[in-house]
Amino acid sequence: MKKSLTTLALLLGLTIGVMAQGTVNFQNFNAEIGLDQPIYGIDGVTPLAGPGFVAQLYFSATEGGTYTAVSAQPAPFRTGAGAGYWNPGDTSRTLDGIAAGSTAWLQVRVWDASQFATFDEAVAGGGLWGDSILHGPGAFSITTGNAGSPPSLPAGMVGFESFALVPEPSTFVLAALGAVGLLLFRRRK
Amino acid sequence: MGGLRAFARGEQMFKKMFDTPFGVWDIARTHGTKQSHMRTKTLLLTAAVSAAGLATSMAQEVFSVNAVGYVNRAIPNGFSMFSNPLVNSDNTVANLFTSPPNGMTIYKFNNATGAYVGNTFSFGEWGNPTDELLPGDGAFIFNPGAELEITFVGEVMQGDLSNPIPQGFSIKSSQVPQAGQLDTDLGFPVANGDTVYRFNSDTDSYVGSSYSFGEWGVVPIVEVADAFFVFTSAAKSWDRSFDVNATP
Repeated sequence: MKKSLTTLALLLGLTIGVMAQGTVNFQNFNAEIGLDQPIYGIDGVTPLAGPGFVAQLYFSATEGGTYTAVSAQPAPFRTGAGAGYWNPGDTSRTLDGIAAGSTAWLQVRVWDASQFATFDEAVAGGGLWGDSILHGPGAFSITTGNAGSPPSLPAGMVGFESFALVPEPSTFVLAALGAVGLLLFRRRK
Repeated sequence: MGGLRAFARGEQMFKKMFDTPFGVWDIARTHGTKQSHMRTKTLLLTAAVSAAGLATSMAQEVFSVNAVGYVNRAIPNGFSMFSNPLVNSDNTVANLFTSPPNGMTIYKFNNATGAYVGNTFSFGEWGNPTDELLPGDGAFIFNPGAELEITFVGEVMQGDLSNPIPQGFSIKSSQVPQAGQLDTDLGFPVANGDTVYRFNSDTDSYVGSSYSFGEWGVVPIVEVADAFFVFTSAAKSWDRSFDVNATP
């Protein structure tokens, strides 16, 4: 009996391990779902441009859970008419550990990769960065693709919205100093 | 091996046309739809075009009306996408797949409903044996058994060809059995926002190629007898004029 249960557990584990993983269409310009959500620089107006900036997809099984980056490389931003939109190369992203057809919570993180290799480094180092949760409407969920027989296509990022990068801390400091200075000047008067 | 031979009307053979370094065979008479264990081969259209080029340089004028050949295709275990690259007098699944394994299923995608229509071979017969697959169409196929080699036999489509691409999603293929980049080599009328999804049967996942702001994210390269999902925002026609005998 014990041996049978162990064998069954192993078989179940193997089955779960080889289940299809959920997929997402990682584009912020996606005609399939009418998505057109560019990312902006720190002024909130100028579309972010150039391969020095990159976007990466993070995901979690729950809204409040820990968000993990997909294994694919971050996507560089375009230039010219494509400014504001990243170029994902292959538009499909696999969410490891998320079963195909199940719900996943998504987050997009953008940073200046010309200065910092990772998003966390950009945040810690005072670089330019942006986050769809902190600087956008928050996390959004989708039903992942690659489900069914034949497999469904990768799910578009329905619910994703534009956001702007955060100014560098030095900019904040300057702005704060300026405000303090103005306040002091007015008080003296 | 695969090959191509051009026939003139009245079945007169212009032997000089085939006096070339390229090997061409009387494929239509020696090969039917039998399954072989050969690896996938590409139709030697380049050879045929080159042979025609040689022919036009000779004193005798040669006019070839149709081109007949065959294409071998490996159908792996599991899911894959494929198309019928040649037109035959009988393009039904029953004729294209004469000895499929029990449980093999062909899924065609209905653009209007967004759903698949499945056709399964079970207990010796297809659910819908008269269902057709023509060049320009495409489908998913599920093979429950070991890798299967099938042979498509028929004519290369020539002349002014037109393949309607509906708005939204559809599964399509090249009407001309050629390999290459989808737009620059095969003439697909790409527009901003179009996406092509090719299914990788090794990983059971799609590779998405989106055309945005004048460039592809991943350049879509298709092989002979490949099929793919295409999304387009507006219906259009994939038009192409093709002549096997045209000088390259």
